[in-house]
Amino acid sequence: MKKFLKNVLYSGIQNRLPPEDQIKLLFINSIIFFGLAVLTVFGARDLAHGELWLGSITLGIAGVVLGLYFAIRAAKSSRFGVWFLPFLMFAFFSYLTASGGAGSTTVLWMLTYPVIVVFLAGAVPGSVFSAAFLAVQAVLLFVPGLSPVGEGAVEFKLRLLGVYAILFTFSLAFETIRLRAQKELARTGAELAAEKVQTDGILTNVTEGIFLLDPTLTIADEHSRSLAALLQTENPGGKSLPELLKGRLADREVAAASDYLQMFFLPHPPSHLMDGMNPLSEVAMASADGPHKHLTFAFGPVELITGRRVLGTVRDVTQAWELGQKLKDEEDRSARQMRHLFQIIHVKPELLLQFLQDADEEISAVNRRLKDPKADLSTLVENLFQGVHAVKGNAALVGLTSFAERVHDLETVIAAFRGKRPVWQDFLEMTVQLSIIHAELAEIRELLDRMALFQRGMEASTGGKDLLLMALEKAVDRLGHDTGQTVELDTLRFPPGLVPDRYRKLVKDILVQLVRNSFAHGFEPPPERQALGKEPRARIRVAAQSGEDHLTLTYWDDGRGFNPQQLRSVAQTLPSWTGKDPSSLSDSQALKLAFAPGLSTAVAGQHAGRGVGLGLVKDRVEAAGGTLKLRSAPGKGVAFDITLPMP
Amino acid sequence: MRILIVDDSRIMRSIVKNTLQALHYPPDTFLEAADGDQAWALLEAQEVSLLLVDWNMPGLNGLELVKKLRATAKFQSLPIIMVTSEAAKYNVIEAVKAGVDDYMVKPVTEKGLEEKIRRVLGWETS
Amino acid sequence: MNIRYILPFIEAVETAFNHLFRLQPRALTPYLVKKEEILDWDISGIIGIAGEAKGVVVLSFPAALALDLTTILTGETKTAIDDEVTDAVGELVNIVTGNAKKGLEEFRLLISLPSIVQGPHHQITWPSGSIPIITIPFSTTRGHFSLSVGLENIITI
Repeated sequence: MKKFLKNVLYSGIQNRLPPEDQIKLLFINSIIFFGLAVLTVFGARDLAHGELWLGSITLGIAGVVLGLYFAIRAAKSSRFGVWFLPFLMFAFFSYLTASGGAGSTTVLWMLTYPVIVVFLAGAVPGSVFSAAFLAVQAVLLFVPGLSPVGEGAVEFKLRLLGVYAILFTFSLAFETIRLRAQKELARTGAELAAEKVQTDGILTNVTEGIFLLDPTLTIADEHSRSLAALLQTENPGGKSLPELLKGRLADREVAAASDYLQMFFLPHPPSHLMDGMNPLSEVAMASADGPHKHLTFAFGPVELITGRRVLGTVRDVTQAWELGQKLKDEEDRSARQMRHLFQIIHVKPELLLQFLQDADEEISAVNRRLKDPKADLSTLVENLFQGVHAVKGNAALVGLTSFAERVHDLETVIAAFRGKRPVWQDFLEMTVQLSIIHAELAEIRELLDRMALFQRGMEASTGGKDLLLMALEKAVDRLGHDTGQTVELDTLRFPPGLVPDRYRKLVKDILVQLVRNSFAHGFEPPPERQALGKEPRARIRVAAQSGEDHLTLTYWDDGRGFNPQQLRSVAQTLPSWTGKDPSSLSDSQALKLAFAPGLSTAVAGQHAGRGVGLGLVKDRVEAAGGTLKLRSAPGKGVAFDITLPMP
Repeated sequence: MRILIVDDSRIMRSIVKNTLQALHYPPDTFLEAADGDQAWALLEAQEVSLLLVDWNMPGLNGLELVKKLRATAKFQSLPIIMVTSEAAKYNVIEAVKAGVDDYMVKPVTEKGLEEKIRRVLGWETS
Repeated sequence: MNIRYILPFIEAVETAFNHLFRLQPRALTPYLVKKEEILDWDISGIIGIAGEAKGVVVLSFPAALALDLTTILTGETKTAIDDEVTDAVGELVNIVTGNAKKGLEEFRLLISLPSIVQGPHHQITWPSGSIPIITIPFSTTRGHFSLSVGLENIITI
């Protein structure tokens, strides 16, 4: 219905006209319809009263007016009406004046002329029309004989013209003012439009997200275009910022942000604290397309006419952050620990224990150097490097390849500082890394302790092997490998757990030294052995027995044994020999020479021959309150009997 | 005027007191408490114009005291400045949310404390 | 870089000593903490860290320096370690730890009230588990002290 009315009133051409002309057209059409109505009514009435001329002309004008309406529609232009009406009305009203009766009020219609015409045709043409019209009416009214109205009272005519003049003046005034106001409006509108073009230009092109928040933390519709991409939301306008952040940030970060933003709307926000409190100053937001985005937000309060708002800006700093991250190693700790554990359980516990002890010593040594205030810095780097290198080597030997790899990484870091002057921060770096390795070793040890508990439980039920014997076995294996001789170790008569704790290290050291000694003097190759009537495979036997107040250990090998003559001749060549003339010694006395410090019948090598071993063994046994006896015959082998007191 | 200084460290209390005395507050301005409960008792008993409170204290800690005060009509507009070693943003937010008027990170400086007191008590800043 | 988790503590020490004592502590070569170690210091202030990372912060002093620093803070000359001295040490480690939180904002950390261990050659009960702990000795014109920091879940290779 509304649409129909609009169409009628605007002659269907509303959209083609600027606002000013739209109003004029509306006015014209209103006059047309009003005029039509009035003309029809009066025309009909006049005809009914028998005033044929008046009636017909009135109705005729009505027809013209109707025609005008359609003419405007057809021409799709209001200009027609704008100019036609003033003329039409000029003519018609003049006719009314001329034909009206004395004192007739028909002439009153002319009072509407200036108002309508000034509005339709504008101030200047309107004034011309109105002035001309006034002149014509004045003539009609005052020149006798032209119009019956003219015969009326002078006061009436004067009042008529007077009112006309006033109406004319005011119409002019109104029109002028209206015009000026309209121009002003248009100018302001143009200015605003120009400014909007600028702001739009900024908002469209700026890379930062710029937005306003109202007290409910909703984003205003006017925001920079990039905001959508930054917040990964198509239309951020009208949405609540905390809602947009939910799911992309941790809940408590969103809560902190809400709290913080609300503070801007307090009557007295703590402005001096606000910047420092911004929890969104740098945030990692979960991103729909892959890696996290890093954004920085900044906020500030603004006072608008509509009230206080928060102006927010957001920037993407992901690239900068990612660059920083590339320098950081991101290996997952638990994955590493799992690999750790996996490798640990494949390594023999006792080997691991040894490794841990050694590593601990290396690190302690390094730590002592770190603590030394007088340490020379480049030497310190060297110490660090060597210590770490040793730990790495041992780790690899033992089979902890994953751990060794990471120690290797640390080694590389330190290696970079070798030969240079490292600054304090470099040392902090190295020490921190070292402390991490140290902590992991502690972790391994803990794991080991737990496993040891488990193992002890196992040992008790299956009678597992003695660690001491295992060390012996290892020594025999290694020496056998190094000298190319295969030797059997017989420990059947060595009950595990027989040796009390306080003698464990001593006994181990002794037995290992004796094994070294055996290998040093050698075992004959199998053919030779067979010729001598020995078993092709060389043997070492250890036995242990506990008596009421002492522990007896026996060590036996079936190798070449000691040669008293050889011992005598070697003693003679010793420059430090101060004892009896070796050549005068009996065989059993000569045997004792074996314990003399500095004496050795073997070539100095990795495993023997420095002439220290047996003498040291004897000293240590005797220092513990025990005894050591040697029995040997050339070609038969050696036997040692050791007793240790057991109080 | 009365200023109540609450901190479990006696030394800290005396440092704050000395700082304020250097700003020409007379010695009888100061009241002290070593924990939240003591502070509450003092506040109920006496008219206090400004509260300087630490965060980490045994018993009722500083943050809890502030919340308790703000939940009580009598103390809703009591000027409160939190003076604490806690420097993290989320701590500051929590404190402001609980209702402190200002927040100072230890160690305190004369100038800093003076500015904050002026601001909180609404005096002209020089 | 994982030293970035240690640096806030060092900065906090420097700031605190600057502001409170007008001293410029100089950091010396850091070293590892061995848990059973007996320390050379006379008094230590300890604060535990909990929350998204667990750890410990310790400031250790020789008696002379502790007394000296307390004297500066209180204005009264201290000749023996008393309640005020322990109070000062506790407050110092509190300030250092609280301030350091600013550089560790990505973790929500809670700090405990300080505890004091004293006596020559005292031992500290370090947290159980395998957290890496390092000690950074500092020297000042008034004496030496040390800062030990251990943090688990933060320091990783």
